[in-house]
Amino acid sequence: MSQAEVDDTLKRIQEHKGVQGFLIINNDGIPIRSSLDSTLTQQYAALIKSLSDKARSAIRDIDPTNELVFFRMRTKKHEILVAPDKEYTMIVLQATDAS
Amino acid sequence: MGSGNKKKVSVELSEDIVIIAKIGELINDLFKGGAFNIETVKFLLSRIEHYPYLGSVLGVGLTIISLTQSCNDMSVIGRIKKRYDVLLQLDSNSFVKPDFYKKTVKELCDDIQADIEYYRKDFMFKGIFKGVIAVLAGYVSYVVRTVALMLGMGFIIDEYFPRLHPQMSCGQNRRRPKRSSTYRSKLDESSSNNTRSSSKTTRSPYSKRNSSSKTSLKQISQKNPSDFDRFRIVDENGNDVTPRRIADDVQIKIQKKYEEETIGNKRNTDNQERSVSETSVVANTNSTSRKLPTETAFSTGERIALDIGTRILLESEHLLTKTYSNRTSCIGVDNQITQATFQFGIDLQRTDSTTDCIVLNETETIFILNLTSSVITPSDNETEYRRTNEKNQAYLELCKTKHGNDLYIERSMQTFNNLSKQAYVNTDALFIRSQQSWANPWDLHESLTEAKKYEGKIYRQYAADNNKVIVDGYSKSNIQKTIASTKSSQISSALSSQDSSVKMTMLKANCFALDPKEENPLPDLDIQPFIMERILNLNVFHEKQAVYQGLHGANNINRESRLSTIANDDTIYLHRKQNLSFMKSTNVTIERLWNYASPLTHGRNVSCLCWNERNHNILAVGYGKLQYNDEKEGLVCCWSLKNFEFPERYYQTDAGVTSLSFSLKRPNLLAVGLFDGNICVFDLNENHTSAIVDTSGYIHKHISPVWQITWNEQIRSSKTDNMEVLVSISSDGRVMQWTLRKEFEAMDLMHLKRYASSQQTSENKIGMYDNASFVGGFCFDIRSNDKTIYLCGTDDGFVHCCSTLYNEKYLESYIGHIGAVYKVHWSPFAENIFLTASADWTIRLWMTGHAEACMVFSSANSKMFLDAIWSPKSSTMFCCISENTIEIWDLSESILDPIYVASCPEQLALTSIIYATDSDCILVGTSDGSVWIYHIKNLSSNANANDLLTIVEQHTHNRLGFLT
Repeated sequence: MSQAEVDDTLKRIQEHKGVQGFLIINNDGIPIRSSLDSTLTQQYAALIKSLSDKARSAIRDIDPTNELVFFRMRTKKHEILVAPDKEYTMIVLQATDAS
Repeated sequence: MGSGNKKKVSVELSEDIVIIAKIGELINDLFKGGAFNIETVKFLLSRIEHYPYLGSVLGVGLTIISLTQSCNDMSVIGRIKKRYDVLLQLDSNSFVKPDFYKKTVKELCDDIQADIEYYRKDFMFKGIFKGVIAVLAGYVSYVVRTVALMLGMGFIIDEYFPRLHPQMSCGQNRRRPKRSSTYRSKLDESSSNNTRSSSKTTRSPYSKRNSSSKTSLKQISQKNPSDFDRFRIVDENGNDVTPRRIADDVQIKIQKKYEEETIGNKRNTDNQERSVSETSVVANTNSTSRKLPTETAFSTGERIALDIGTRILLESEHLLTKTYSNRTSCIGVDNQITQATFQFGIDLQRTDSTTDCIVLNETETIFILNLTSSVITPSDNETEYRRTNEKNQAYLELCKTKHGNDLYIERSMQTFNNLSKQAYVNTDALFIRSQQSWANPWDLHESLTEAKKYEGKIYRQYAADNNKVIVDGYSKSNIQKTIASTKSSQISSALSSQDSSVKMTMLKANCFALDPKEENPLPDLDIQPFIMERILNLNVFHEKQAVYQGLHGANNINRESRLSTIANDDTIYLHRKQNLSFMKSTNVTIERLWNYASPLTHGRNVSCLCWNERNHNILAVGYGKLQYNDEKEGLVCCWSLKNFEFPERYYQTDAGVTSLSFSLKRPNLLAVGLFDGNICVFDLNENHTSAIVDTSGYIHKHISPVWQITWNEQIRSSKTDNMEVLVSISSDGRVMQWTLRKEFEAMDLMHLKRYASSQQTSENKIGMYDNASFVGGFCFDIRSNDKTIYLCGTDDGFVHCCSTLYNEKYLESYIGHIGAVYKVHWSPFAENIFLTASADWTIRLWMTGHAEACMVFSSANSKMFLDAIWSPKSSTMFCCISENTIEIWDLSESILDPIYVASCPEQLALTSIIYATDSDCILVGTSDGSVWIYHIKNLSSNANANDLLTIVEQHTHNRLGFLT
């Protein structure tokens, strides 16, 4: 996926209804790109990363050939969408009443 | 005197040997049974102060201890102590002796004293026992010392026990003359009546001695023959060398002395025994004093190397001399016994030469130690003696004060020990680190798969590329490189992968680089945005998705209420649902769910729609003007149901797209017919945007827009049974079949000709070739149950039924349309019924075998029908589009009017329609590039083929009846 395409996709994602912000972190939990403010970014990066690792470990413990691709948490205020990958993890916050 | 050749010789021995003999006798007796001669003990006690070296021998004292214990005589004990004191005094007097020796003597005395005290208290028996042990110890030490002496000087025994050594080695003979002379002198004195001259005897002193002792031996043998009747040892000269007990000899000698006195010697027989002994003492004294200067080594001042035995002997001689002189000075004090036993002689007896001869030979003396020493007496050299004494004193002094003395130098000898070396090695400081790791099942799995992955050829490529760092064994660029390297064989592999499923993944490269400039470059993200976009779409369009999937109704309400958290939403939604359910009973309606549109497709005309047969989520949409235009670019987008915002794949083409078809067997292959007549095939699994194969280089390609293209299974030959061929129809009047191997291989299936002319040219077919006779084909449809039969719709309004096996003639021709036939579609239920949509504002239903249309449909607002399609669910239902309206017909309800007519709100021209494969939805393409999805509600009709046939037959019957 080229640079431009990633940017394009991110732009589209942000334009989605109810999307409050997105966050891309690397495997070390360091935010690479974020549309949130710095404190929120730090919090999400640190907390979601560990949660994502745990979730991935759980899935792979059950079946080693499986792989965690995506998970989301629906909360009262918004839904946290997490897409972990080999090197980077993408986190999007979407308002619950978006749909 | 029985035998004349037996002689008795009396040899006077020195007192030393007598004492030694006495000790031996005493020990012998002790060993035998403890019954010993008290006289012997007394003799020894009397001699002990004159023979201090005996004391040093230690045996004597200890023996005496035991004896005194046994006899329990306190006076004897007192004497012992006194004698030991004397002994001590003597020892410390004139001899250089090691300290330990003196000390040992002193300790011995102390021990003796202690023993005496102990034994005095203890009872007799125990004392004897202990005494015996002490005697043993003394004996052992004595024996040790004696043996040491004898080893050093065998000659002592030679001289004092001459009988034992008839043959002397030369080593002993060297010293022989000295002693022999002594004996000679003694012999001369003691037996002066011998007739033979001793001066001439140089052969052997023993022979002379033997000869001189012949007479005395005779006397003794006469007097006491029983003493000598034991076995005899005779030397080579016939001399008797039988060992004899010393006690016997002494006895004999004493007897001989008495005899000599009585026989009438030159000595005065009238005198008392004491006077005799005195004279003998004097004589002895004279003889010894006479020989001392000549025979002792040190007396002459010559420092001759002597062995230790000699030295000890000389010492003893010196002591003898000394004691003799002492005794002579105080001769009157000594008692009778001492004087009486002072002189000895040993009688030698010559045996008969005729008796058994035993030859004794002495072994050669082995010298173990040879110490050179010098002895100086004060008598012969005063200054030398004093000097030596001073030296000795100085040495003693030095020994006492050697510790801490500067003069004392301790010298030590270095010996070769095993060299021990200490080696030290410096190492780094120990670094202790605790490490732990947790192996998950998936860790193991990954390691295994990675190891397997690198075993193959990919690993070789990794190894070849040294610049690349392998990161987690999963390097995208390397894998892409691998793909690129195998690109040459890509087409064939893609074509041969028959069962590969279409999997929508993210496109890697794109010709539409929208916004290349970005100040903060992003990393190479994989698929997160792709997934995220899908998820967001699902979130946003969740409800509509549910509707699309047919999840409405009670189930849908539950789902919505579960997901929705706001109570108000629920109520509103439920209210709406109730309305919908109310509407359900009345009529069929359609509801617009969403549209596929993106900035990419904006303003383009949707020309065709195609579902993927394998993956029902994938919709291919072709964009391109249907009329002639100067549009240079066409576009193919592959939309997913999961993402309405942006196509998952899009391909740019050189001309407007007019037709699309997904392969059935290889669902990843998408054939695209273009406006310029080209056909190209895209592989959706590949991440590049160019077609894998096209017909641009092919000479017989279509020269007009390819209006329809379809994959068709070729069942003609068994060899290419699995092959799928492309069938295309174009405005140039040709139906072509393309075989996809390495390149396209084309075959004309049919040349479409005008209906009338085709009948005419049946006679002269080839010659009548002219362009005017060709009609453009707009559509075709292959019969589902017989792949060789297909229908062609042409622009002159005819519909021809043809066979792929037979390209000369139409099988049938259906006449009726007066405008171009844009669509022909076999009914999916009834096999001989098909539908056509035409530009003449009508839709007709045909039946094979009937040249005329069975039914003609046209509604009030109908215009040119661009597309029509049978419903896959109900045999009597079809949908068609006319300009900007969607008409839904259900023949079971009405054959005159559509049951529902919907018009596009934007008044856009609709270009194509298609049923969703597994849903009650229709998709409509518009001229502005968006594809709308409508949901047909309340679709209750489930008619089957018979329903359709019945309706059709009824209608035709009625019409025929009406006509007739």
